[in-house]
Amino acid sequence: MVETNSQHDKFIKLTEPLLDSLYSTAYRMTNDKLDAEDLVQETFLKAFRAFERFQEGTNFKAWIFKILVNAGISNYRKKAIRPQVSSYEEFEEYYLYAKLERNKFENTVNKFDVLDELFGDDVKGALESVSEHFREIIILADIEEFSYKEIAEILDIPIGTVMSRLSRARSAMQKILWDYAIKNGYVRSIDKNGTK
Amino acid sequence: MEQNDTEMIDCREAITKLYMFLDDEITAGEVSKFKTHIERCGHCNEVALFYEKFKKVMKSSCGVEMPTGLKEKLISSIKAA
Repeated sequence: MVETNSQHDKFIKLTEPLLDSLYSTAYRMTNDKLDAEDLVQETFLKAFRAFERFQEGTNFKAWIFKILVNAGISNYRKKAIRPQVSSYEEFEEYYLYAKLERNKFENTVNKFDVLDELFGDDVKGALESVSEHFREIIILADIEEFSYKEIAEILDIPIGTVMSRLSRARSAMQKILWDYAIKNGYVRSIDKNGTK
Repeated sequence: MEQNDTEMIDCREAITKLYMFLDDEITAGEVSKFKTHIERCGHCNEVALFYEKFKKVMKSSCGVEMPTGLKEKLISSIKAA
């Protein structure tokens, strides 16, 4: 009994500071409040049941995020499918900056101020528009700030794949954000339409 | 661009390493070379500042608040288990 209680307390102590991150990641992955809540509950219970297999001293956050990501993949992925953007085949890591630089004579607005305009709903919208794999890796790297090594562990992919996928995901995000910037009138472009 | 000291990296290398620098994925030695470069190169410095801000905007745009009561619900769920 004492043993069980201390395991229980230890688990709560480790999990409590991560609940906000877990919920926010679950929400970004499912895009639905109830699904996010279910997913967090499922993750929490699964993690508790598997807790004896967690090796003390290793990375608990990465361990529980792996459970979250796996639970998300098996049950919630279908619901989360959004219209996918498939036309972005050319990826450039510095797309947004390059576009702003290229169009600098068309605009009086400062490059950095464009980022302030994009803050909030535009970034959220872009994150919802990219493919599942891209969304997942952006959340892990840019929002939860896991290291490449931790992400490799969570997603069960080699570090090289983490780096290349992250780079493509960031480019895709920037292409969508550039389109938003034009559509919403934050910038003007010498090109006829946003992306080309 | 500045002339090459032995320990200097050029713009090309700086740009290649930029995201790894921002992601905190390069060694201390590489960090100092990177910083030396951007201190001297206005263009790379601007790109670095732009993407530093871009990362911040991404992170701060995407927080979601947890529904009230969920935390308590979770904790009681494992007490019952």
